[in-house]
Amino acid sequence: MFRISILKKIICFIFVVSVLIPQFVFAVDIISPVTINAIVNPVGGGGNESGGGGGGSGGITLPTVVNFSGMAYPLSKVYILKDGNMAVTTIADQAANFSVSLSGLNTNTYSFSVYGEDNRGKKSSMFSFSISVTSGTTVNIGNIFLSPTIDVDKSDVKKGDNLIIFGQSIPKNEITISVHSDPERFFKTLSNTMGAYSYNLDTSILELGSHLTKSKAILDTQISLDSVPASFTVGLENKTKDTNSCSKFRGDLNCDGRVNLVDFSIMAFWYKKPNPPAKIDLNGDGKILLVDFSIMVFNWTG
Amino acid sequence: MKKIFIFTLLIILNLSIANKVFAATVDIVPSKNLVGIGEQFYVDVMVAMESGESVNAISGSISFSNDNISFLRAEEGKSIINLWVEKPKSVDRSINFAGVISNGFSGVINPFNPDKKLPGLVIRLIFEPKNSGNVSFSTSKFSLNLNDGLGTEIFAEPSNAYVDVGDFNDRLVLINNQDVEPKLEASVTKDPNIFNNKFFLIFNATDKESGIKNVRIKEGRRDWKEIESPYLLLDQSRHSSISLQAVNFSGAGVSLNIDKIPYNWVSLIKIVIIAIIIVGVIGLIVRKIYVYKHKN
Repeated sequence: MFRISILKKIICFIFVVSVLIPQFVFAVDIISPVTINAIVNPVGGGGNESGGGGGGSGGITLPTVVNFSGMAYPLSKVYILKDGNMAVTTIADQAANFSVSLSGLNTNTYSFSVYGEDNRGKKSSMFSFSISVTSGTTVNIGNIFLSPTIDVDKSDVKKGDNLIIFGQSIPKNEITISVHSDPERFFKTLSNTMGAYSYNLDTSILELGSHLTKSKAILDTQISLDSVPASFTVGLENKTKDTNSCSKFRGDLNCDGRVNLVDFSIMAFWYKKPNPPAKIDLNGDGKILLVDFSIMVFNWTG
Repeated sequence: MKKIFIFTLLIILNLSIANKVFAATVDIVPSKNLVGIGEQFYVDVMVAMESGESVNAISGSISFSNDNISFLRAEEGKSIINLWVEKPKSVDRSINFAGVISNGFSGVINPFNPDKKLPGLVIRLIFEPKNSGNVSFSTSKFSLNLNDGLGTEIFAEPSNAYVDVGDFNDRLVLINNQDVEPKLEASVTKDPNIFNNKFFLIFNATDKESGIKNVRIKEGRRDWKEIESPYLLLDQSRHSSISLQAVNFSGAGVSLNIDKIPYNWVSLIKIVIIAIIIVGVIGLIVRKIYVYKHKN
């Protein structure tokens, strides 16, 4: 009886945990408290899109605007893509705040992506969303908290030597760096007035093999997106990272530092054709299928 | 033991529900469930994401059951797919397509009610009824790739819908009269990975309303012809002018010219001078030989 009772408790526990864990895991998909709201623009409220003419209200075109605002890095470039194409860029201020508007839109569903680029040309992860825009409204997308950028000084590090993990985020703030090892390890450092941060990681605590590191910033109650992971290998010798390597992004097939229509077209040429070049075959299965496009557009920069 | 069995069953059921959290759903939404003969209607293929997942590639097909209707066209203008790997194509009562969504799709946000995400339109298909009777539509098992950098494949279960074609005539032609001009971007490039490093043209034509009907090219004095991207240029010298024209299903078009590479006149003049000198020298030699032969 006693054994069955214990077994029941274990089963109940597993059941409760299996109910709660998936809900917990998937409930936190919004990690940045982005605010989204819309207002209907008043008729005759002005705006540079007001068309006019012709007498009567039938010819009036009300302005349709989407405003983006949030935090990137001090004086960094921020890019807004509309349906995968570069729509507008802006520069963040000294405090890393940015704000930019996009107008001239019609009633439709648009896909927007926002990313930042640090002073070394390294990009943040993408903040992407699809939104339904109605003509004559102003849509505000606020509190976009872009991820820090991250990089490492060595592609291979000798176990026990130091690895410098560095990047850029909002100024004078705590940055949390995680190293995806077994177990995952967390480290904290501070960014300077320009948002630059670095951490000297003693690799003696890491196992031999490949590792990923990423970072995020926390400001009061706001959490940034996670950075694009940087990879390194702990081994028997040091190897400086090749900064001239063209493979900054998987999918940058023509090595121009961007993943855009040119790369898509090159891959489309090889779609379902035999013997594609290894460089195009992003998942290395010997053929170009939709999965290769998926890997490419994950890194899309427009 | 019976209770343990029930608990175990519940766990298995729960785990299957948890796995389903990853799924996307595909729905077929006809504009009308009852239409008359000749009354054109559309069928929207919608995808809804569950649990905040994001996908960036979709492929699938939708088929219809009989010849009571005929397929007219696919309108891709309002689709969440912004780059087509396989444009919608009709083969034997089945329309197949595959495309990608740059940076992913996790649902459409309504800014007036941002908490609930809405399904996105994958493709709108226009049909015309020919004979009365029932028509059923069904999707294949849709394949979707997660926007996770690895292209993890997930599936959406097949979906069905029905339209009844009544035994009455009701002529209706669906036209998109939105006065929107298509957008066209294009460039010429070359890359060692395709066309043996020869010059090729890439383009992307978009139209947020009815969608793009075709894109045509005129290279130099050659005739207009319909092309797909990427397109290997016929004139690899790049000295021919290139004109592109994209037309949407409403009949509106947009044109774009790509500058040709001008001839380098300095080089040409040098070549002409060298050619004249060579011809002159040859002429002198021939003349001397001629004179020499005649003297002897």
